[in-house]
Amino acid sequence: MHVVNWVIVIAYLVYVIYDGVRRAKGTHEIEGYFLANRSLPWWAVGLSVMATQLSAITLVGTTGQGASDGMRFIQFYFGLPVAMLILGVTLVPLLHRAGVFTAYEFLERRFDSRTRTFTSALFLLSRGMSCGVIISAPAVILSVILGLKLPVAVAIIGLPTVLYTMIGGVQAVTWVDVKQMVVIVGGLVALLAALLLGLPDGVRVDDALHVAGAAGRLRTFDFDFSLTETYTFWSGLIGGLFLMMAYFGTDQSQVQRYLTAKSVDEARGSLLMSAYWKIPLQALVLMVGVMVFVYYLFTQPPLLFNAEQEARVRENAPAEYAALQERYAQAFEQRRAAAHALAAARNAGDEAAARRLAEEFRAREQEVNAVRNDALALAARVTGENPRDVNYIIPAFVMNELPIGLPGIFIAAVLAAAMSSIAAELNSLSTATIIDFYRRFVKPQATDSHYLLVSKLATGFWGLFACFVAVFAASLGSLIEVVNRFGSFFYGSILGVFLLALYRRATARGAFYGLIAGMSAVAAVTFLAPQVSFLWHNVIGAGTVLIVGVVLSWVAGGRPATVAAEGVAAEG
Amino acid sequence: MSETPANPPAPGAPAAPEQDRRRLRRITVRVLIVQALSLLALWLLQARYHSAP
Repeated sequence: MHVVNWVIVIAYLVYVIYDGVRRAKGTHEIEGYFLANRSLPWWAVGLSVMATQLSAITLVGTTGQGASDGMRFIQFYFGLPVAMLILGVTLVPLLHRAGVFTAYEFLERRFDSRTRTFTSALFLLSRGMSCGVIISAPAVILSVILGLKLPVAVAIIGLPTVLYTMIGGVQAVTWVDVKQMVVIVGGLVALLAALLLGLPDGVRVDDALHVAGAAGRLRTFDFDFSLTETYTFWSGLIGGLFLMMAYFGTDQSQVQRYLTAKSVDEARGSLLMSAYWKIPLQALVLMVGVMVFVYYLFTQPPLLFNAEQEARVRENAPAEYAALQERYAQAFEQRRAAAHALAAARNAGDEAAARRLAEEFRAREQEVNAVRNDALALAARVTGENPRDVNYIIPAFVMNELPIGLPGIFIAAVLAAAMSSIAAELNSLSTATIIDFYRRFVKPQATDSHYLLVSKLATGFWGLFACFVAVFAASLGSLIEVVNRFGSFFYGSILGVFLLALYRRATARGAFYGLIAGMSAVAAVTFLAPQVSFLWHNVIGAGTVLIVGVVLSWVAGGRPATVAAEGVAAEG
Repeated sequence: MSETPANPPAPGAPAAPEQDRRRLRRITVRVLIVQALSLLALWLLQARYHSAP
């Protein structure tokens, strides 16, 4: 990589560490370390909420998905604005007014201590592992495009994040997130501008969009009601609604963001920022991918975008790969000619020719795709790995096609996206460890300065654990899959428990056994009907908890709500 | 006539329930309008450019 790009990346890393570490000033007790003394403005918290959700996987993988599959992934977010509205009226005021550190602490006040311990332990287990995956995914990609060893790439992403999160606490996480969002959005806008300016002569933006549309990349809505298809209007609106409510309403990595807000109104406002901006932002991410697809209609792309895998295929199956490359060059030239002809017909206003040429273009596109699929199958056979080539489309484009400076900005944006998500997760893992376990079971009567010290140590521990998981993620593959699958068992079920808390007559017994029933129902669906899309698991989990919880509360009774909890429930 | 109430609420005090409900209604309408506009923009993009079978 050119020295100018390295200067941009290093300047970004140095600034992030400086900005995060200086936030440690004035953080002398755990209320400040974990909750910023509930003093932060809505806009900073709102940007932090968005930065936490937007990981490097979004920036690299989702843009790649835009290039290979088009805009339809955006349907995944259709439930988000309504989820934010519901949370703003229900859980946000409950959690903020309860004065808790963790969402699970609230469950003890409303139900009992075992529900709190159980849900917090589930959070630690799944988030601890997923934090490693969040580091690992961009680290693998950076190691390939920059030619670094994997542990070095993990260290570049993980260590600065651990450092500023450990020292600066939630103040550092939030204020660094604000700058990171600027870097991420700035990087995406710069990328889109470069793509639009780089269109070949005679191809206007309007023509480019027509060509993308002819290849199906601008299909956004799919109104089929299917339980097996993940990206449809209905699964996004209904399944996405439950997923987003579970994530923003009960996951400590998000709940802790808005617990730092000055008031309930400011907390609500921070979530509404996502309600307004998430769909447009996601459209920008996918549109970058669509325009990269258009760019590669006129400039021949590599047959395999993952350079490291391509080198292995070239070495181990040279004749087979050379034959594929020859077929690819031919198919590409024919598709390029068809795309140019289509754009020219549109420019000339010849609608009949444009329709005929669109058919021709689609036929050539299918040939290109057929060669690519053969190459991916060959790569899988030679390397014995899933090629995951889609994740390398955008990095390969940025590194090979853009002028000096832009690759540096893009890598800084990928680092920003990764670090903002990791920092929030480390901060929340530390909070749950200390508040839900250490302070209750290990040392209940210690001084505040003791808790502050162990909180920093816990942040460091989770950071190093995540880096360890990231380095060994390839060999831990099946374990991580098990943990992720396990995570999908309880996400919707925990949402069900929180929704049950809004029901005044719900009892602790109803909540606990409802939670077990919800997890069991999702596990049964996962194993007996694996074709059902994971978006529906959250609906099934939450629905089962609500039904079983309400019925058990009526039939079996149990411990009545405490006075404090009644007050809390009444507010809902 | 001054629009300042005779006894303004203390800073940080929770808003009156009726006032809170009105504000929530306003926010709900605003979010739903923005979502409808976002979906409409995406729909228009698809309607104008999508031509694959």
